[in-house]
Amino acid sequence: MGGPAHAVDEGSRTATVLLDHFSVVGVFRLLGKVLGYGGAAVIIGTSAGEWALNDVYITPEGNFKILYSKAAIEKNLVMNDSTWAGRTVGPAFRIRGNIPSISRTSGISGGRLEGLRRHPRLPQSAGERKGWLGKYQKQIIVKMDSYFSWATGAPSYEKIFERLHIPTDNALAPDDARVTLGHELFHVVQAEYYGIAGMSNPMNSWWLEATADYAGHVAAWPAPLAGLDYGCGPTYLTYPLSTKGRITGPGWSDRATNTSPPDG
Amino acid sequence: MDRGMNFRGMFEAVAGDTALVPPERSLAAFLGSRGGMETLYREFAAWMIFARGGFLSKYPLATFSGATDRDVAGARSTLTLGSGREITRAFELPEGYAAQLWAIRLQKAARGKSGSREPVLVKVNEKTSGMVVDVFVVPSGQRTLSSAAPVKSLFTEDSSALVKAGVGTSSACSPPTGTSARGTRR
Repeated sequence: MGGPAHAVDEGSRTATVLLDHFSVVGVFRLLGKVLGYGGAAVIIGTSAGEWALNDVYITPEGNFKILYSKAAIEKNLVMNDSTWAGRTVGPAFRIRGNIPSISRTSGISGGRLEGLRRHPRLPQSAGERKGWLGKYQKQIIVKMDSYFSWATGAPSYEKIFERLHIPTDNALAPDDARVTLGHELFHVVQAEYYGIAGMSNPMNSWWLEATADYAGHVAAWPAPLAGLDYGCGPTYLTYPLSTKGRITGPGWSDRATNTSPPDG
Repeated sequence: MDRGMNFRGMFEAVAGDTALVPPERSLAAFLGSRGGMETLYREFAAWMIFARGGFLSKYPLATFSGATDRDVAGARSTLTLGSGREITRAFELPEGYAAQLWAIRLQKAARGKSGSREPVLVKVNEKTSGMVVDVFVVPSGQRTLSSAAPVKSLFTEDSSALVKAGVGTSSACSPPTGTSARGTRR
């Protein structure tokens, strides 16, 4: 499930919506969606003050700041769809519960990425980073179901503000969540080397995604996670190394020509 | 990484390349003293296709009847041993490290002995710079190889190799017996 939930009462021509994060983009998208119900009078019936502000969870090590909506999870009456119904523990709580172990095993507070963490050019995610006003705490911000997730429909690393955007449906499966977190965290690491310009340069895309995939499945964890081959279709090798994205369909192999007549 | 290389070292070498060059060029420079990018790519491609844990091992190498859309091989041919026939193929690969598989099923002649291994001549007539032809022999009924190493590699124009391969009893959708020529291009 991505984005806010809504409920429509056709009888009273009232739409009730839940914004799990406050976002202008989210509001406009949502209004557009709701207004699509025949121009009914729309009342955003949820208390904006309650819903607009994100809940915040900071991991004990101080390395992650997770922005999510606790109320969005608890109010099953408005989150009453097939994804959420019947869950005694909401997805964000599952994430919250996993975060300490994820942060440990991802190497943020120990583990195989420890060496990277200590690199002077990297943000010391559990602690200090040197700025022109002195040392300061660097936290990695994770936003659950933010407008960014909504726009992209996928877990993303946001280059400008260096935040991770994770849809809750991605977080439902622990292994998926780990792969996602390791992958997106490695984008944070990469950004320290490449900067915004380098991260945005299409020339680097395949390399940034490939190494993030490797980090998410292998380097970030004590034991590799399955799924590194998810994008490999049978024609994978017929594309140049710098090709980015899933390769599952026919490719360059179609262009080869067999000059022999059929034999036998 | 299975070759003992360090992920961090590799990443930093490429990311730290101050010249604004494509990462594949920085990677090639980093791997230059570690076996070379061309060699490592060929090994990677062979592992992907023929190793038990290779990412493409879930797909058939080549299907000789029926749908071929899941085949790793971009082309498939059948050669009758002892027939004196010659089959040729022109590989067209994009620049920038790519590989393609040509699966050749060997079948016995009408009066041939099954189970015998017969010589097959593989020859490169002409080629463009950077292309290498690796020859693999996949026994009948097998999909993967215990060692994903080529039996022969052809690097130059007019080079050839005599490969001994057995006669197989391939059937539709089963892994073919025969030689698989794989061309890689950097």
